[in-house]
Amino acid sequence: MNIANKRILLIDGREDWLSRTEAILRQAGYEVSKAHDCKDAQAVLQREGNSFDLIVANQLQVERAKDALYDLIWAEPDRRRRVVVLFSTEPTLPRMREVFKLGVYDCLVKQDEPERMLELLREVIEKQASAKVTS
Amino acid sequence: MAYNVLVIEDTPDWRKKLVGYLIEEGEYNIQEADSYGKASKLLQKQPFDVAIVDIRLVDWDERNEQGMQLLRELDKVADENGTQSIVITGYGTKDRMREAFRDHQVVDFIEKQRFDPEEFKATVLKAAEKAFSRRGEILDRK
Repeated sequence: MNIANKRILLIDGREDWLSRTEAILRQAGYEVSKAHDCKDAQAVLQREGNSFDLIVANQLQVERAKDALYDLIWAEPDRRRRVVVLFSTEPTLPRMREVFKLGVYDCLVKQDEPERMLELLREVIEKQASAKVTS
Repeated sequence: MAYNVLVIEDTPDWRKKLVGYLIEEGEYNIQEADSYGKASKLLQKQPFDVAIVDIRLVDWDERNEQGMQLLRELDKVADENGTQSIVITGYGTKDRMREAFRDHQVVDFIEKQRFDPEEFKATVLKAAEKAFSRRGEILDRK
C-alpha cells in the first residue's frame, strides 16, 4: 500500500513520545499532526481539516476523557472517525471492551521497536481501507 | 412496537436466562437457536433487529467458533435490514474481541463471567433502537 499522503493525528500527553513517534512516522512517509489530548485534537481537526486517515490516541488521554473521545469519534453521526487506542501494556478484556464500546476502531499495544509500531499502524490503515464503511 | 430478537446460544441454561431477561422487558418478539444451522436458517427466513450470538456453539468443542462465522453472515444481513449483533461468550479472547468490534461492528462483547442483567437489557434496547434507525436509513437510500 502506498502510504504517501496518509495522514495520522497523534494524541499523547507526553511531548517526548509525540516528537519521537512523529519523527518515525514522517520518516516512513506519513503526514503527521499532534495533539496533547482529545480536546486539543478537536482543535487540530477544525484547524487542519477532517481528512486524517487515522487518529492514534494514548490510552491515558482516552481513559481520562471518554466523553471527549466519543465526541471526537462521532462528530459526524454518519461517518465514524477511525481512532486507534495505544495501550502501554497488554489491556485486560474489560478495559478493551470499554474503549471499543465508545466506537474506537482498534486497540494496540505500544511497541518499543519503531519498525513493529509502523507495521501495526500500516496493518490498521490497510484493514480500514479495505473495510466497508458502515458506521 | 416490538423488536425482533434472535438469541443464539447452545447452552440451555444461558439461553433460558437471556430469553427470560428479555421477556421481562416486554418489548421483544424472541426467537431462539441452539446451533449454527438453526440460526443460519432463521436469519435467511426473517429479518431481526438484534442477534445475540454465543461464540462457541458446541460447548464441548474447544475449537468451535461458529458464532464468529455467524457474525460474518450477520454483516450481510445488517446491510439489508440493519440488524445489530451482540456477542456473549464464556471464552472471550482479545483477538476475538478485536475481530468482533473492528471487523463486524458488534454493539457489545459480553463475557459471561461478568454478566450484568441490567446492563444486558440496556444494551439490547440500545441495539434495537439503532437497528430501527439504520433500517430507516437503508430504506431511504432505496
